[in-house]
Amino acid sequence: MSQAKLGAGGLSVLVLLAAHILYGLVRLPDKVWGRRLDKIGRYQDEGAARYLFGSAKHGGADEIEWLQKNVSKEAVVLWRHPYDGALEFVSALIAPRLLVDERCVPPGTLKFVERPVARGTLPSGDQGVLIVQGTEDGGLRLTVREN
Amino acid sequence: MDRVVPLTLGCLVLYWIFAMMSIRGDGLPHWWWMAFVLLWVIGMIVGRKTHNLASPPVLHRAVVWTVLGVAVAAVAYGAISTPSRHWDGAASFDAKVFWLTQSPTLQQPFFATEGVFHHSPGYSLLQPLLIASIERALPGAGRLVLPMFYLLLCGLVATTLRRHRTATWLVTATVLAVGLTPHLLSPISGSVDSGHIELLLLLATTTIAAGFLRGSGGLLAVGIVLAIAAKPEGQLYAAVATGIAFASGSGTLLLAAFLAVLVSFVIWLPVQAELLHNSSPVGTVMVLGVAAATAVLVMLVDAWVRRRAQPHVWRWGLVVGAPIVVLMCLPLLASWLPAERGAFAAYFRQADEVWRNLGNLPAYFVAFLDVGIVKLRIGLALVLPIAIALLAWRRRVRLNDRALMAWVVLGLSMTATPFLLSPEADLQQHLRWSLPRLLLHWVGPLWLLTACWLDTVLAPRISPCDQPVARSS
Repeated sequence: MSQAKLGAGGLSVLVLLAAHILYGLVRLPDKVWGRRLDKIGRYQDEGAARYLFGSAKHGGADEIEWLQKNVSKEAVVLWRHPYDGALEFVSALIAPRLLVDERCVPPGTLKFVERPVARGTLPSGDQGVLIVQGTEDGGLRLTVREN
Repeated sequence: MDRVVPLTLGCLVLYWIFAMMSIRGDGLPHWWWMAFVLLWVIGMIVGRKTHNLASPPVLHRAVVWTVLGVAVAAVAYGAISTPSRHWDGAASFDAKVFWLTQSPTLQQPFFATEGVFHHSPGYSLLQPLLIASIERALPGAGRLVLPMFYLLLCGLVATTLRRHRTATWLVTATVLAVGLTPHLLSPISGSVDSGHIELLLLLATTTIAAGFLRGSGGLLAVGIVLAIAAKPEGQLYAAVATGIAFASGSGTLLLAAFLAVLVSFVIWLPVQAELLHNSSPVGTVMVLGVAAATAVLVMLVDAWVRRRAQPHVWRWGLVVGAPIVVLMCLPLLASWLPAERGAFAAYFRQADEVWRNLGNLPAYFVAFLDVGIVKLRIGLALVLPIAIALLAWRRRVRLNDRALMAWVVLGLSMTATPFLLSPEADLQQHLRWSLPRLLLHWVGPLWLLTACWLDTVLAPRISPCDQPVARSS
């Protein structure tokens, strides 16, 4: 295809196409591989909760790690509104524990879907049925209800 | 490659259909996904070559495989090194994958019990099920489905353009252009290994585009089923694709589109209702009824339009006008819409806000230009078709591929819809979060259109792009 046949317009379009491909190629070593390796390394070092909450600029990693350490894998953990923010990650991060809306588990319930409702003593000393609550700034707080 | 792509797409659709038919009961058998691998292998062995296209030059193949190899290695490593590292993947889809890996059925508390936290329950389960099925057989390898979708996308673009007899150098360049799209490869939300569903929806929109370009009812139907099987907005895309099939004047495309929509709805809506704990069947019956009534009505209109003097003017007028009328009438229809749960329902509950939300459009346009062009999130995918259209106008070359062009233009226009119907209070945050991913859905169709137009403009000859869509298969 000669330049005369292409004309200035045709050449410009081909330059744009080449620029798109070149831009993609140039990004491969750093933006595609480098950044990805960096993020994977950070995820593996920090753990899922700390990485995800840190990236999303939400608090709540300590609460998740406490639940993972102190609540039986068979248990049901209750949650309370507000919903938006870190609370959206909790279900995946604490699996195989189930996260259940507090309103569906009346006080005094010991088991829900054949699983024990999680109870415990928080680092603050509060004792009772464990509840994960979203905070107004999109973070998490652990609290308890009496039974 | 020419057999791999359609076979894999067909197997994906069959997998989803059979999975949705069995997931409400005891669940998918362990050997389920392997049956489709076997089906695929048999298809590869017994499938006949249906065309006589020359293989691309060795140098082209070497360049494409080297570049895509580096890209695939990055996203494959990113996919299997950790679970999802971005919001939707980690918050929503990883949990579904976890529970489906334990047991591939809805008969377990995570899906079946109201009150159990299930993020985005109305989303289809094709991708999580595929990942879970492979994870059960090959632990740690399930997320390789994601780079497989990426390769399938690149292969689909290559196959479509080769079958379309596009110049070889342009096929190579377009495959590289699609494969190197920044948003697909960057380790960000919506990229190949992010665990989001955007890539699957992009594969669906590209398959639909390929269907329009080749006048293939089969590809169009597969694309529509995949769109509905991917995400809730896929239902909207399916409706628009059906409208364009009507406008194209091809009875084959129209029939294929309606069959795909109706079969997908019959299979998916009852599963979705169960996932959403919608005990009343009103919503499901209403959607199915509206879809079936629309099919009959459109077929009647189609028969009527065929007798008019300028049928294409009527067709395109209806296709462009009807969605605008429906959108503007939504406030009047709002009180008739059933109070269902799910992503779509959340938007429909805002139906009476459409007119007020027209004020969001200036901010949307600014964000569209910023994300689509200035920040190069999809590279020059938006710039090139505009440049080629200007060149064609200067050279007085006709760019006739109306169906594909309409798919791209209407598709890009649809990216405004969430911001007219959004329940989100913070518009800027919503634009920043959603618009890049919405634009990503149209990268494949944009590049197919670009290649087709470039072929027409640079090689002044009768190219298949100039053929009416109904006769170009």
